Amino acid sequence: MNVNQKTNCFFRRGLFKLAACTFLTTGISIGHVTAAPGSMGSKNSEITQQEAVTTKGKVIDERGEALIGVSIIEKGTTNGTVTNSNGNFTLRVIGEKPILVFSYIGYSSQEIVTENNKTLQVILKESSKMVDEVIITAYGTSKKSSFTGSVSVVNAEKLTKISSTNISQGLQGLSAGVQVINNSGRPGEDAQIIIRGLGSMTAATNPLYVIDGVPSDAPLNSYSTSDIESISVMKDAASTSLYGSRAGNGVILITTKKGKEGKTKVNLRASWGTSEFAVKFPTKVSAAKQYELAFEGLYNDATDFLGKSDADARQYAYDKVSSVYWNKTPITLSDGTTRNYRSGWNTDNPVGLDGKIKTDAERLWNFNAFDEAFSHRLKQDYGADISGAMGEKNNYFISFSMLDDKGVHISDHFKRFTSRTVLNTKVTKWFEMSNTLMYSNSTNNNGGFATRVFRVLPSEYSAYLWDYKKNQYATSPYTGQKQLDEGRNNGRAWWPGWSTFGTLTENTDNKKDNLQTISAFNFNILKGLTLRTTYSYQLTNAFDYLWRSPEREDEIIASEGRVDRSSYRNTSSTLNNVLTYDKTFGDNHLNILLGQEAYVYKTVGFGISRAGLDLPYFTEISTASKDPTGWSGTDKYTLASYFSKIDYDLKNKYYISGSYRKDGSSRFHPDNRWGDFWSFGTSWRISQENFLRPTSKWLNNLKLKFSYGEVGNDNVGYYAYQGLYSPENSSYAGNIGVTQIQISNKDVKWETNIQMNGGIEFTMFDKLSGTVELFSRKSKDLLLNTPLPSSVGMESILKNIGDIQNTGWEVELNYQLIHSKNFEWDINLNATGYKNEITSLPSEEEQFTSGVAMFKWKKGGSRYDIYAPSWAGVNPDNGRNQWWKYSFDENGNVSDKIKTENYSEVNTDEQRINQGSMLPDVYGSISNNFKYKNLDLSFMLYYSIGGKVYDYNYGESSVLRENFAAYDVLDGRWQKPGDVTDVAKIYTYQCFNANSYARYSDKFLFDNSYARLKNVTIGYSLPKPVLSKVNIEIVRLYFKADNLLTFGNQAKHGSDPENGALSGVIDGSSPIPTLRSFNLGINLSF
Amino acid sequence: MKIKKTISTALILVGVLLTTGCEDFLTTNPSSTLSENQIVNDMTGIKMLLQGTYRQIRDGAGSPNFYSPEGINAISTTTGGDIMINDEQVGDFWYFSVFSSQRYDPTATIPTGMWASMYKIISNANNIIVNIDNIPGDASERNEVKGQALIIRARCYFNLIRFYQHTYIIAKNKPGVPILLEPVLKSKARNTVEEVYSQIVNDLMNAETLLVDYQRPDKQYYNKDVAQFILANVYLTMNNWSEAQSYANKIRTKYPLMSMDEYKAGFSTTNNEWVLGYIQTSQDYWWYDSPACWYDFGQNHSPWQAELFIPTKHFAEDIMKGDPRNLTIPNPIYEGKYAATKFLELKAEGPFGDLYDLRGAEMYLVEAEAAARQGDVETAKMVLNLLQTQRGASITIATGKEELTDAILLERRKEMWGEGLDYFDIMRLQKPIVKTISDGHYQEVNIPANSNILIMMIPEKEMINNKEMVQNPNPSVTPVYIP
Repeated sequence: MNVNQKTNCFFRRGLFKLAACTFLTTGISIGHVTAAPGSMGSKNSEITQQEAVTTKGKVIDERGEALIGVSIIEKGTTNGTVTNSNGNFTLRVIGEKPILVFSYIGYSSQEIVTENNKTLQVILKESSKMVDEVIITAYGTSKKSSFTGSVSVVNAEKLTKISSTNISQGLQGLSAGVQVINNSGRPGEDAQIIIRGLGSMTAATNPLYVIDGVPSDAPLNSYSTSDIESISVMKDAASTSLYGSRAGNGVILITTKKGKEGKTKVNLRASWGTSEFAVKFPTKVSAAKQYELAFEGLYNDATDFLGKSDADARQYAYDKVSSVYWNKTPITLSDGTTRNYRSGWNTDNPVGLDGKIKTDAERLWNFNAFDEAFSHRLKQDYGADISGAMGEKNNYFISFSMLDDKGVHISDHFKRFTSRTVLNTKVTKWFEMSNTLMYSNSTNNNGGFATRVFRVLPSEYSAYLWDYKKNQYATSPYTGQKQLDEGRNNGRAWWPGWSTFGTLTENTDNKKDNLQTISAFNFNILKGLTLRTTYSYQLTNAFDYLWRSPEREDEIIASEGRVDRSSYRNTSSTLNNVLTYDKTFGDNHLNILLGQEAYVYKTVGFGISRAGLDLPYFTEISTASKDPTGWSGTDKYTLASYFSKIDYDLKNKYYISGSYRKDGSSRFHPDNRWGDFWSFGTSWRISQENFLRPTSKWLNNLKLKFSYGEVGNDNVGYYAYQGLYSPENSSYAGNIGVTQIQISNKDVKWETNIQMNGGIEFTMFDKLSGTVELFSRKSKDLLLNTPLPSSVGMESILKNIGDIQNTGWEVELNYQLIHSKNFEWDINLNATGYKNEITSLPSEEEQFTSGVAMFKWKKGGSRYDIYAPSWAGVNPDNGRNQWWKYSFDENGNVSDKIKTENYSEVNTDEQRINQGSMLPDVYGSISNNFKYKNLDLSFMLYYSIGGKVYDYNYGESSVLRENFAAYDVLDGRWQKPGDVTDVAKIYTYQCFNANSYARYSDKFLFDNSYARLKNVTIGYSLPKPVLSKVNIEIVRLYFKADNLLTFGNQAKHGSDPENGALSGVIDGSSPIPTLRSFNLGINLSF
Repeated sequence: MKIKKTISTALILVGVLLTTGCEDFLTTNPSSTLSENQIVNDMTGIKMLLQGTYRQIRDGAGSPNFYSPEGINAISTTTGGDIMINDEQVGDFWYFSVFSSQRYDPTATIPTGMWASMYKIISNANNIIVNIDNIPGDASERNEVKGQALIIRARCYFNLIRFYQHTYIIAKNKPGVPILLEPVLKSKARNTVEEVYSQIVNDLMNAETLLVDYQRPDKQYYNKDVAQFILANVYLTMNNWSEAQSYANKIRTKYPLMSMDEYKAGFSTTNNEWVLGYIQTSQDYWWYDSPACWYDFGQNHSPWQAELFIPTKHFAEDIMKGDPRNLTIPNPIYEGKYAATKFLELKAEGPFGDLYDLRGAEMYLVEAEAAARQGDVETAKMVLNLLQTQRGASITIATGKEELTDAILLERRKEMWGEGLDYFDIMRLQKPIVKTISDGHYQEVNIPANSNILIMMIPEKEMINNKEMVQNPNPSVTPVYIP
């Protein structure tokens, strides 16, 4: 055991000796550290020199490549050495039958009994990834085995399995406790990442991203996934508290690839793909069916509300049916006849008195918005990187990548290129420097297309203007193409300006330039004492352009059209100075860190907007004719911090660590500006204990850990405490004016996150490794934009209102099922579950809404519980919706309930009762990786069980409403007394009044359990013997498919289950659903 | 040596960084908004706040279509029987309709928005009123600012009290609306209707005094006349006939009636009769929220035809028969219906002319009614006839008090149609609402006098967050208010 401990110490020292490198190059691989051989145990060997016998050998990996820096210890002594750059070693052994222990990070250690003067060939096997990895931690590194906090590491290999070109999307399913919600199918959009549940309501909920040691302000979509070496997701206070006020939502440490010693390595890659929606949209009824339904609704209006007889009601419906979708806009046709409605039919009354489309009624056009707007479009992704060393002191990494993603909609287009240069120089023994420069440029074309357009526009409408005189689509005088029309003046009754096509007449173009520099200076002051100064400057320049063709306005105002230009410049500077001291004395190891950081973020912007483009090729501000309007503004955020950390371990078995950080933030009043954040962590490697020695054959590693600490969240807007007056929309009679927009509120302060983590890590049989953790995450002084009674003149005020707590568990298991020469099969599984409770609330109750969904907070309740009236089915006698009207006893429990058809009776606060939680019970993923000779196959299944979602879109599609699309759900509508159905009798103009409308109730609250085949990858690597002839190392061809299959309730409704996963609601403001994509690619390395 | 030098340099660097002035470093301010200190302690700042408050009341806190003076007029007008919502265009259950749930559902747009908008304006006015006296400087300047803010506040309370409770005469002791006079976040219980009226009268009389010397730059600003105009209406609603008469007289004699040519020009150019009106600029015009657009069926050449409101057949054919103010035409789109041409846009391009708010003719009618109700039929008839003569309308010859009063109320309909008196008169006079198909309405409507459907429910958000608030009766449970 002593030997093992010494081994670890050795590595530990080696590591910290190169602490500079650790930080500078971050993605350190111990394999490339050349430590001075024979530095240990020399005293011992001197004493016993006479008996010593020399043992020589070479250590290689399974592929036959030499391993550099492998530690070799003679068991039971402190005698040892390491392999040189060829993998060779020479050791004078002491014992008679010496046992040599070979250990190497990332590989299973091996014990070999040597014989005199024999040359050994030692093959080390790669061990499970989870053991003894070097992980990147806050302002430093640590070995996974000694780390007291909770972290999930996602390496480059895992990332490449996903075809996502965005880091955030790529993380889904890869680590426990991390919820990644892909809430937009648009190219270039970032996913939302939630670590161990939402810890805030008002402040931002996204984690802090730290790239190569400095907080990143560049949008995630500006990074190329191929530049990423590893991603560490830090989940508990012990691992995040050094980031203090910004760590409340967890920290994601991104480490980029660095140059390595050895020969120059070149990687080339290319992939091509295409996408479609992962979940099919629900089916709209045909234009003909829609008219028949409108007739039926009108007939029902007339009989039930206007007291008309059957015959009168039929006549009423006959006359009015076109008015359901069209306004009366009379037009005289070339044959002299007049039409009142410019509908898609050749007659104003296409439905007969029998309610069926007349035999002589003909459609003028057939327009399928979906088919016209969406198609399989090309996504291309190319990249190259070169890394290597220039002499012994310098190494480099340079990369270039390019992405061109056209998404699925006719108007979408995202382009990005990223280049990255990393240089490391070891100037002297005591001074090193590294520079990282990243530049990325992206162009995002987006027509502002929203899925709601496709949901609500009736099949009746076309996106082209119809020429009733010529009986064909009108031709645009500008373009010679079909005249686009957005329903402003064609008689369409609703949705003016809503277009299937978005950008064809409205060009939105967002360009971004991101520049990121990270310079790190490392001073090895004394043995064990290091000062590291890091400076990072980050710049995002955004240029947004919107152009709206005059053609688009379609005759409403002659030559309107508009051009908007705006620009932002966001800059941030981070400067930190970190002193570390590392010392081993006897069995003790101590590491102390002391640091200081200053951070400034500044955003400046301006914009100008001008209407009146007389011609469609007028595209600039100067060519517009109306008065321009402009704006400009500057905002600034500063943060000052001091921090320190102490790690101590005894005999490599017992670890404790403590950290403290003090942050001052410009976001709060001077009285509440400074916050203290701290943590304590401890772990115990039981497997190192003597009493577990008998089990060490199969129990390779067993570790218990615990941590506790406080971190904060200040992300609540720049001036949360100040009373603010805005001049916006406040000028009057030509004079500048202001109105109050925020009431001063000096009491507002940090949200504090109190986190507790306990866990077990283990490795068994060198095959099965895993982590089980229990956590609790308590958000204290939670900030909420608390609604105010409107009579005080403000809608809400930001208040620290109470405490909520997430408690849960996480499991990660990796099983190397088969690892034979030709066949490998690995299984990875992870699962997370947590519950939420409001533990303190000074007020009796707080309410907030998300879309239509209502949440009520009560002490002892959950922040995720949805409150709604209860639906009581459709009355089989009259087809009306019914709701339960509850009576309550004095304790507030339901004592009785009766059915009512009057929604206003249940549309009250007390009738909105707890209908369950939107929080899933368990979520996670199962991955399988297979390798057979040169073929590899992997797939990941993502699952989420339990949790509810309010599907407003489905609700909307299960009613008839004038001007709205009708869906085949209405096939099941109530039609005659006795019909037992969930779909109420339809009305047209009276739908609100008849309560047949999709009122807010638990009727549309569904279980959101789902499973998704997240990705499937099949790859083939060309055989090495063939390649070596042409000096190529790897050629791999692959096919990947993402989101191939989706199972669950919501998929059946035509709703993407990920859409409402965080808000609890799917509605018109929900983003574009997730895409299913197919990709073909090739990787080449030499 | 070199190493030692590096160490000391590094330590100095760290030391400097540790001791740099943190509080300065950590204090940041926005550039595009102003801080409280810059506004409420400074005359220039507080004048900017007054400008902003004007803009708020003019624009209905951002929703001119509902809560601006014009929006409130539209809600009021469509409650009455002369102008109806174009069922074929927007459906009879649309926002403005009295029986739309939008009018009495405590979660719906109009009751919640009206309440929030009025109190938002009141809060800004309160910020001025409470702070102005502490600002050093010219007393007359302070008086001018304070007086204007008081009128704005009073006008908001006058709107609130008439929308959220039955009329003063029958509901004096009923819960009105909470009176908030300071910009604090503490909510209050409803004050009685009488207390609210007394606050309104106080504020207006106070303003009248403070603004006695105030010369407004143009008719966009509230001056003494505006205070008196509103006071006349407040007293009329309180059945305080003598005060109503006296205040109405002050305005009536000061603002000459416009000519019929001006009347027919569409109320989009400021003229002598206007007591209060707004000049739209290219930066702040109302787009399609102006009355001209609501009434437009293509006859006005306005850029937007909203086609919302149309006169009833009975109104166009019978009530207005032969009257020069019968600015209606057969509807060019909906056969058998009429369209109004009373409100016209000025130009084919924004900002589409001026918006009028208060005009003198209303004060003729208030003065006449108040005189008649006091039995002073001579004065009443004289004032009424002045208006009728100017308009070229038929001259009332009735001399009986009742008869004359009816004639004056009829004249209010003829002179002021589409200008938002209907709802307030229905409430004030406790009239039922009767709409018949034979009059040209889309359907038969019978709403009894003092129906609870006519007053708005207190918004649910207020009920939940203000524990002292009491709700108005649910009209589906208690249909009619019995005093």
